[in-house]
This record gives sequence, C-alpha cells and structure tokens, in this order.
Amino acid sequence: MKTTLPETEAPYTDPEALLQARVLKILKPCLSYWLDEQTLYLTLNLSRPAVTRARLETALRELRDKAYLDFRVDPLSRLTEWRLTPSGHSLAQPL
Amino acid sequence: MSTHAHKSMNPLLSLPTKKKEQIFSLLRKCKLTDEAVREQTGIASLTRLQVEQFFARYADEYWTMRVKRASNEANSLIKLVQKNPVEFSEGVLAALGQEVFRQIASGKVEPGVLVQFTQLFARKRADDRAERALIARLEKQKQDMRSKMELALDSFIAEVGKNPVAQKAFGVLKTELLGDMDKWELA
Repeated sequence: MKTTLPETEAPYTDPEALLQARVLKILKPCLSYWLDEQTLYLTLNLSRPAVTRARLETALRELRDKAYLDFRVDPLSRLTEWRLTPSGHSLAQPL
Repeated sequence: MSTHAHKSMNPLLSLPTKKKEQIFSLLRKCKLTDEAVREQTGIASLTRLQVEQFFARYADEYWTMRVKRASNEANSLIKLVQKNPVEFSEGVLAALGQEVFRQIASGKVEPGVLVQFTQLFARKRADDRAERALIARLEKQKQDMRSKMELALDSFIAEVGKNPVAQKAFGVLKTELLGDMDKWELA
C-alpha cells in the first residue's frame, strides 16, 4: 500500500539526515532549556519505534560536531542533556 | 501535502483536541484496539492505517505542545520570581527554569503545581534572607558591645594608674583573684 510521509520529512532521502532533522525538530521547542538524552530517545521512538540508541548517538555526535547542538552532563542525574545552539535554531526554523 | 488535505484524509485528526488527546493517550498505553477507536469516535469507516497515521502524527504534535508549554511555563515562572522583592542570582533563576522545564516536559507535574512550588520557594528564600539578616544584626550588636567593653576597660586601666585609692582597691582585688586561683589549682 502506498503511504505518504508527513510534509516535514519529504525533503530527506537519507535516513540519517531524516533522523538528524527529527532530533532538531524535537529540540526546537525546548528553546534554551536542556533536554535529557533519555527523553529525547523515548520521544523519537514514540510514534515510529525504529531508532536505536547507537543511531541516535551518532546523529547527536554529528550535529554537535557541526555546532548545531550543545551538550552537558547534569551533575545530579548524571544524564547527558542537549539543546540547540543559535545556528541549530536557525537550521531548525523551517521544520 | 497541506495540513488541511492531510486532515481531510484522516478524520481522526479533525476531532476536537480533548478527544484526540484521549484517544492518543489510550493508544499509547495500548489500551485501545482499532475497533474500540471506531466505537469511541463513531467513525465506522476508519482503517488501521488511519489509526496508525493519527498516532504517528499526533505524537509529534503532542510532544511539541508539551515542550512548548514547558518552556513557556519555565519562562513565566522566571519572570514571576524576578518580580519578587528578594533578588535572585542569574544562576538560581536558570536552575529554577531548567527544573520547571524538566518537570513539565517529562509530564511529572502540572503547571499549576509549579506555580505553588515557586511561591513556596520564593517565600522560603525570603525567610532564609531574613534569618541571615537577623544573624548579621546580632553579630554586629555583639561586636559593638565588645568594642564598648574594651573602651571601658582601657579607661579603667588608665584611671587606676592615676588614682591611689583605685590602685589600692585594684591591688586587693588582684590579691583576692590570685588567691582564688591558688584555691582552684589546689581543688
């Protein structure tokens, strides 16, 4: 059966680029607040459970290397937390 | 594909928000079959694909709504705290905002609870400040008393040197004190 992807996903043919776009889209409404990696992972898999932890980590690393993401380790929970940098926000604007 | 076209294809996406939330929540907990969704919505022609599309689509909407609400709420609470007569450092405000965001984004608490939490936080902080101010005031009083006592003793010492009667009385006092000390040592 032929299915149609939601409009925001149409331009991405590369699955890794699509995953990175989904990460940016999830982090966009967080503004300057940090989102922990576990919540990010659960959210990614909420509707389409296909993203493995390893794929997510690769996507996050690539986005961080391109300076679209900031990260820190929360001193209390010891969880890694992520947020968009200003250039990440610009990139995520149309999503 | 426009949102309107997407909604016209899937009648679940055109339901009132409250109904959409209810169905999404039940689907998320795996407590609703396709048949049950048809019964709940009264849409007999619903297909499995439409239910799946609704879930995938609404999950995105739901997340965006929840996180937007969390960040808005955190920003509002920071503004509320900033209006408080007690001043908070930027670090404290950032930590408060982050915690509010975390709690709402994770769905652990409702925004209304956090307003109460913030008011309590502000009140506690004001109490702490008042307590610290009281301790500082008492410490200052103690320092003042000590200064005054030192001044009085210095004057007394100066006076003793000038006055033979006071000098004699001071000698007696000294003997008595030293005598007492001898007793303490023996005891």
